[in-house]
Amino acid sequence: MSIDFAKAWEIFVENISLFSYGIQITLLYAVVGTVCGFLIGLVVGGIRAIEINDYDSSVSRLFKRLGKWITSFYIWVFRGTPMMVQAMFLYYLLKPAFNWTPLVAGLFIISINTGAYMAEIIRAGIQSVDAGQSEAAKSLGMTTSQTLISVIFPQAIKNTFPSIGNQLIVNIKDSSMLNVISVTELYFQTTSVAGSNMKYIECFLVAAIIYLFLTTISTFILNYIEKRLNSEKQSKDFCS
Amino acid sequence: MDTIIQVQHLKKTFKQLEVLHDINFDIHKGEVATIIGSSGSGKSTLLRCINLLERLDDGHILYHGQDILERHFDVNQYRSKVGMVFQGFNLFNNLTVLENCMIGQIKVLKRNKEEAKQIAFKYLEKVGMSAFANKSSAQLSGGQKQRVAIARALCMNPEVLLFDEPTSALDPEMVGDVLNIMKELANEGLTMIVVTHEMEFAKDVSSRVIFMDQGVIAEEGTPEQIFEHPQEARTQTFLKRYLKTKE
Repeated sequence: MSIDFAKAWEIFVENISLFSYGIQITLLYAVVGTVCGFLIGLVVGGIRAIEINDYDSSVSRLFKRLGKWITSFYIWVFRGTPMMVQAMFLYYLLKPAFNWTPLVAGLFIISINTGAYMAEIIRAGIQSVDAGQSEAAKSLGMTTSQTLISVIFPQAIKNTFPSIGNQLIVNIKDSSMLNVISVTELYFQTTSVAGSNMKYIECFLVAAIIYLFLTTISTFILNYIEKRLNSEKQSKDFCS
Repeated sequence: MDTIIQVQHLKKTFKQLEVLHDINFDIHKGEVATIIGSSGSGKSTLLRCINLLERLDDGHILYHGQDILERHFDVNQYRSKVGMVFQGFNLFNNLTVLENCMIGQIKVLKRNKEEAKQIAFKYLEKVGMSAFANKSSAQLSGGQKQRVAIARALCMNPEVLLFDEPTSALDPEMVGDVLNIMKELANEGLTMIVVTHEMEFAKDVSSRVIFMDQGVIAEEGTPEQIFEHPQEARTQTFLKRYLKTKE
């Protein structure tokens, strides 16, 4: 068991264009997956947080129930199965209908997978906002959607930002699973390089260092944004 | 006298517990009605029913003769005319003081930003909080928060303002500031319904006092009638107990 660090560096330099393409795809997946997953999570989490009241009309109660059933089914399935399996299944299932490339299919899969996790994060975030906030909005005459957009979501997102940001880190790493449908992200590229020179240990050392580098940078960025979110109001004071 | 709100045979239950039975009263323009009574008598629930934050189980609430529970009644428009000040202030945590006062004007009354800002400053000035316009609510004390909450409600130019124990969550030294503002509003002729434990305030400011006990209006009348010559035994006991705790 020995690691040839000089060899690893050599491999990295020689194949820099392959690695850098892989990095780009991995980052694309992480960012698109997190952003789209977040948007899906807002809608699904919003539906999950709706309260069913005794005084609702039977039609609106039915719609609310239906919404809850569909969303909990979605979360149940996508959190309960590996993304690798989802990728294989959906890619081939929908290929005849959409005629899609692995790249597009992969973006779709990572987004709906992330959406399921985001939905639960955002539901918890919405429920963490004090009921008085929406009562105050109602008492001013604001509609439900105005209340959600201007009062509830901003607070829910701020409260859960660390968990939301964590999904970006998860996606940088988990996008590697999409190699099963030949998405040319970093892991896939590394296997190609290793396959040609047979230096598995050195190649995957390079991959590990790159992943660590990407997640570290992302963590710094997320921490910075979190700090900004928490000090936003104070900084406005200094401006005025 | 112009009648703004009429409450008719209002009934409210939580699960099996009937918290309000057959409540009837009218609110006229320019009136300051205070609702007093011990905790659990249904005062706050009644106020929340008027603003439809609680659904009633039976009865009607009329606003200028229109039933607010009617299917096609515009509840949001009604709420913008009937403001509410909460015990827990409920300032929007994600917005500054100024934004708190502007959001309802912009979203509900469709005023433009400049106009909304001007009006917000006018009322923040009135409650002595204009210097805090750019602060977040987390940076304010309880009394300051409640003053901003009052300004936020006033910015909507409400016809009636409901106060749900506005001073109960405040430190004693802050209570006076808030009550003074409310007194000023009453003197200016704003129609108000105030649920309160501040008997001095009820005595001095209100045009009518409603005493509630166990979900019913036990007695109502002018402050003089209620505080000086209460007819009902329950009212007498309540006031006696209150005076005792004060000493």
